Amino acid sequence: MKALLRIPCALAVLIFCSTFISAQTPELRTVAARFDSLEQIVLQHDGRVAALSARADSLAAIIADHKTAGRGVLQDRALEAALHRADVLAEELQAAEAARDSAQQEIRRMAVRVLRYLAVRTRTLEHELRQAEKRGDQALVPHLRRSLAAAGALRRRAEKWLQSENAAILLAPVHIAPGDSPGLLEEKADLLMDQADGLRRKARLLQQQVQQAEAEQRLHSRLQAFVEDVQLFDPLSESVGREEGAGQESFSPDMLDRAANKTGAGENLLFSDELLLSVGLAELTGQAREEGLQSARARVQQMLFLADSLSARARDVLAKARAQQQEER
Amino acid sequence: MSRPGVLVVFLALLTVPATSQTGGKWQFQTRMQVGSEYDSNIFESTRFPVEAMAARGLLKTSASRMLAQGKLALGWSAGMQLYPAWTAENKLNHLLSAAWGRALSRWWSISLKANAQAKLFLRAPYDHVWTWTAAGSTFRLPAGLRLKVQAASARLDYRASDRFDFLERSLVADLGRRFARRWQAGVGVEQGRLEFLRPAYFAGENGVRIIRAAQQQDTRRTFFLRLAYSGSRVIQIRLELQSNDSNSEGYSWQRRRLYLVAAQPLATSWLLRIALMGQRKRYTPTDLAIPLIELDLERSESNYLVIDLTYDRSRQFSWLVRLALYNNEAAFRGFYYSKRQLLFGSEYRF
Repeated sequence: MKALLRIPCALAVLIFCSTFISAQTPELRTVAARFDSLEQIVLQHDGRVAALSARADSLAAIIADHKTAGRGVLQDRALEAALHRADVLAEELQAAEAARDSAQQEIRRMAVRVLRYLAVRTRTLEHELRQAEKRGDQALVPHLRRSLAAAGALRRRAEKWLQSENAAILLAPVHIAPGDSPGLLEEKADLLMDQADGLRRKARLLQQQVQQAEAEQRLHSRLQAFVEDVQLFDPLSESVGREEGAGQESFSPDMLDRAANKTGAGENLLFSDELLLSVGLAELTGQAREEGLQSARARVQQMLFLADSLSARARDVLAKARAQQQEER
Repeated sequence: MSRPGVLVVFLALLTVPATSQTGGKWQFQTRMQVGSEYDSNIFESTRFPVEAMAARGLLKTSASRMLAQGKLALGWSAGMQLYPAWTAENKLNHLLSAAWGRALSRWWSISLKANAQAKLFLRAPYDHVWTWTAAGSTFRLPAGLRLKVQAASARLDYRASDRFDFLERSLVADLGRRFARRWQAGVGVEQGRLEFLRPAYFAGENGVRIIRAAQQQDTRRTFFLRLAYSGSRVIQIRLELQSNDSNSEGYSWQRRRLYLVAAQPLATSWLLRIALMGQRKRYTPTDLAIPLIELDLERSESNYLVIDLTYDRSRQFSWLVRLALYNNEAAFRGFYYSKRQLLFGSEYRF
């Protein structure tokens, strides 16, 4: 009789669990699906940019061939057509790059939101798992474990986007057309120069924040070294944080996420919130933060390189404008 | 740990800096400090201080590595104090440390830590080793709270005598929270049990000390508050209320203790570092019919202020001046000795 009763009970539990599962999990699946679709969009943009770049490269080779070939009506026309195609292609490429950068920016914003969401969701799942394990709910436990693994995988993907050194730096596209007047060219050169200055300002700001974080890290290290000295040479060997072992090897407390605590009261506030927000690291865990700091350094270099490139382009455009002015005179 | 054993371990560790440049995933840091030190009271006497100069050296090597299963950190500090005029005070200090930590989830991490400190006197029978091991777990709670629980075990072992040796087991819980971006505060409790190898005493009639059949056992309870600031300067403060109940008469006490460490960059290249410990101890009972000698200097009361001023010639090299003022409880309960140390030295970090 008891065995017979177990069947409906088990069914009831199963139904309850399935209801529970269906009520809880779609949220994570939805978020993951949205993230997937955004990733697909970025990949599509990447593919398009790569294809256009390849076409531009081959066209550049063709143009170079035409330029080195002998002069003639046919050659001139072929060169003119190739240059025209190159103009069109350059515009397409710029548009594709802008779209890709915009999509990358979007996915980075989405990654921050996903990490915030996962911070809460993972806790809930862990709580539910503990409860289910306590109840001995064999139906629910594997499912919750799978959900947790899926959450972990999604978190790693989101962190990867935030650490990406190729994070988009959005710039207003500036197209130089063959028929631009000298005045228009000067305006475009100013716009390019403004963008370069803006990038340098951002790079300086980020550089300062990275330097502050590094200086703070060094200060903690020097203080810890001092405490170790005091402990090691203290006449009574009873020193600051003795119980905690002030001289011991330990980890920075930002590693709390990943590991252990620092000695004594040493809570190392290595990153200011501004820095974390500016490089999108606020939601990253310990090791990812260290990598994020490296990424921030690379980003500074990237911005400075881009700023130099924009300045050079602005100078070229300005030179072209001056040359046109000279010709007009 | 025997002296040859200690030497073998340290000699092995000496090879670490040599290979540091090819460390791969290992990250190494080495710090070397040499200096000359004036000590106003080398024998820590309450009445007849003897001053002397000493040569002092320190070599610290630390290594850390990220593993698939967490992070591992190792360290070795070797200190040396040589007194040309008083060779009995010559000594070597060694501190070995290891820590491993791993995040099991975003909300839960675990850690294992171990320290061993050996003080080796070259011409006196006071060698001793102090070891400390701990297993801890940290939980991130809602509202930005972090709870750390830790079980630790400490042991003091004198080579020449068991009289001062003890084993301590303790449990600590620490609840902390970050606030206002750069501040962090915490509150915690600790419960410890100390077991000595020496017998417990009680005071008999006419001031006679009578040995109990049992060994001395102390129960120590600590309540602490901590506050930390980290930014362009770093300050860490810890306040403790501690009580020690012993089955050996005269060893029960209560104390309040404050310690503070701080680092403040001054002008360019100058760095000020301070360590302060102050405590007030009250014995219960306050008066004893018998004189009580607490020769266990490892556990005596300590008050000190250490001020360090460093001038960084470069990122790697610094000059330093360090003044240390001590007012410590002497071997006789309730008696204090004063001590001043002034160090001129240099430090090289690589």
